[in-house]
Amino acid sequence: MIQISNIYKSYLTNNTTTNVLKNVSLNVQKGEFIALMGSSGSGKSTLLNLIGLLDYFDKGELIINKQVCNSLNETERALFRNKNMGFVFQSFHLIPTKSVIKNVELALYYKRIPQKERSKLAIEALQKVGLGDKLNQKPNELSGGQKQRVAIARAIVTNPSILFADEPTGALDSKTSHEIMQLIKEIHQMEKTIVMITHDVEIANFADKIIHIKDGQIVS
Amino acid sequence: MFLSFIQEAMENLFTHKARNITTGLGVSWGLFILILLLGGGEGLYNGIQNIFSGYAQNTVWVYGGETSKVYKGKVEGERIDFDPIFLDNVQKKFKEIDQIALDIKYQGHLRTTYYRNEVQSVLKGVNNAFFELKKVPLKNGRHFNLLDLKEHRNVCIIGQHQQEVLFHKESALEKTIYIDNIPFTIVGELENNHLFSQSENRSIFIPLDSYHHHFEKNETYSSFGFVLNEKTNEFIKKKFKPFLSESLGFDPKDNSAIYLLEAKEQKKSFDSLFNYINGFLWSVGICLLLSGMISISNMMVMGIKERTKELGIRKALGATPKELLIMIITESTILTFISGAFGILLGVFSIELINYLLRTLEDKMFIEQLEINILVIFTAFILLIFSGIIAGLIPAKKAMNLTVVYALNEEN
Repeated sequence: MIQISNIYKSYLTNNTTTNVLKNVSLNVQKGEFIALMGSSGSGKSTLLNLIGLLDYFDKGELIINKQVCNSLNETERALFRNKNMGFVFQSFHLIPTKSVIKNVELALYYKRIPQKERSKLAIEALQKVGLGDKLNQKPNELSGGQKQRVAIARAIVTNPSILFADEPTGALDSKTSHEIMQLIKEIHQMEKTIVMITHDVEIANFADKIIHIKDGQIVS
Repeated sequence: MFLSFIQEAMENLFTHKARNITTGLGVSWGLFILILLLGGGEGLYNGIQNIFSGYAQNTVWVYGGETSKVYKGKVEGERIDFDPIFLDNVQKKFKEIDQIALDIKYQGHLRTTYYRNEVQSVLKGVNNAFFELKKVPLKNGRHFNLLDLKEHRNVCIIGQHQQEVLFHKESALEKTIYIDNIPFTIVGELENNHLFSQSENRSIFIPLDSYHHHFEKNETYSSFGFVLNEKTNEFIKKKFKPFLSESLGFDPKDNSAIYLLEAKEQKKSFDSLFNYINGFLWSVGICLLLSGMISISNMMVMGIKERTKELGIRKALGATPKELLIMIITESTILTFISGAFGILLGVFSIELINYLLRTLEDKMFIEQLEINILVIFTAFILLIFSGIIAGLIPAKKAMNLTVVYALNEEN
């Protein structure tokens, strides 16, 4: 499903090159749920951004769903993301000026789905995450847990094969974190591949496999 | 899909109502002022044109002065007048001259009465061509006709002031007034709202023959006017002036012997003045439009900066660079279109309102019928929309080149 081979990534800041990922290779099978763990600055978020085609790597090869992603241009990457991937971020990344339903519909808008169909699918997705009664509320009227549910609804509404979750419970209390993880687990049971970042062992235990990253390299 | 783009752009514009309304108002104001300026310029031009309508096109008035140079034995300081023989010669000699208008003014004021009402009047004897050349507008009644002249009738046309003092609000037509104790029947009242009528406010016009019969036997005139037919280029300079010099006996280079007033030349001067005024109005209008354009550009640049994170989210969800570009340009185009259309509507409404008010005003202050040049406004509108597109293009290009990670991590 996801094949990462010998990937390198570095950042240039103030004339100093920081090697964030060094020769990282990883295989994720279809339907697998993996958790990437590591301390702050270990490179786990960078790795997720590269696999999610949100950023570019310096060297190596990335194959997702049999598609070699190295040579994709920005438009092809956008279309590929829209078709195959869903994202859940620690800080939710909802558009504050749009209502809950419009936030969820946005992913379908870029899939060129007509308005009526968009509304129907968005309502279904929001009902799945238990927010069928909050359709017209703005994100700032919701609790942290509810915001994350909206983000999950938005991530799954396009029916992607891979879900990327970057510390999905990082901004939530333990009870809400548990509820969100239950939801992600349910999504996983719908044969979705999930790549999740966390530094919380308890949360990582929801995954099938835990991968540890240290100083830009996979250690176990 | 096109409708979807419009819908999405409209939704985005509505989410930033206050900012977009103030920016839009800047654009509307620019177009509104441009329309008012150009409409006002046209109104002023029409007003002046209306004043010139008091003179037939191609009219020339000749005023006698005093010679200032010795010429063929004649000393300087001689008064130049025009007698009937000279005037007859003019008409016979030049086929370019259609008709000669004459007016003669009585020196001093004359007591005019209607029952117990009385007023001091300026008396003028005129021939019929005078009314044709000056296009004297009447509020009521008629000009003199051939029967009046043939039968030497004592008829007159009075100005507004005389009408008001002698008759108040009553009609003066067919009433008999006494000018220096001589009875005259009123056949016409001058129109009020006309420059000519205003200058002749206190005048009473009577036929030339009646004037000579009752008030002044001497048939010499200090001025006369005529209309030239169309094929008369340089007629005045090359033919008429030398003829005047020769037949009246003054130095051709003596500028104070006669004064010539050509309506055509005066109109040319006014047209040239209006070209300058129009140029100025255009400059002001274009500056206002430019400020509208800058306002849109500024709003778009700031708006995109503010929305960097949103653009990152859109990219993460699958928005292609082209889609983001179209979204931003559509937003700026819609904003420009709506605010421009609003400015035009407001401008057109104001012009109509001003025209309505002008129609009800007695003193129009040289402004007459403000007009809008549709082509000019349409061009300005298209220019604004085009600038809206350009204004959107620059920040949109910038947004397209952002990586998703950078955009998502941008702090607003």
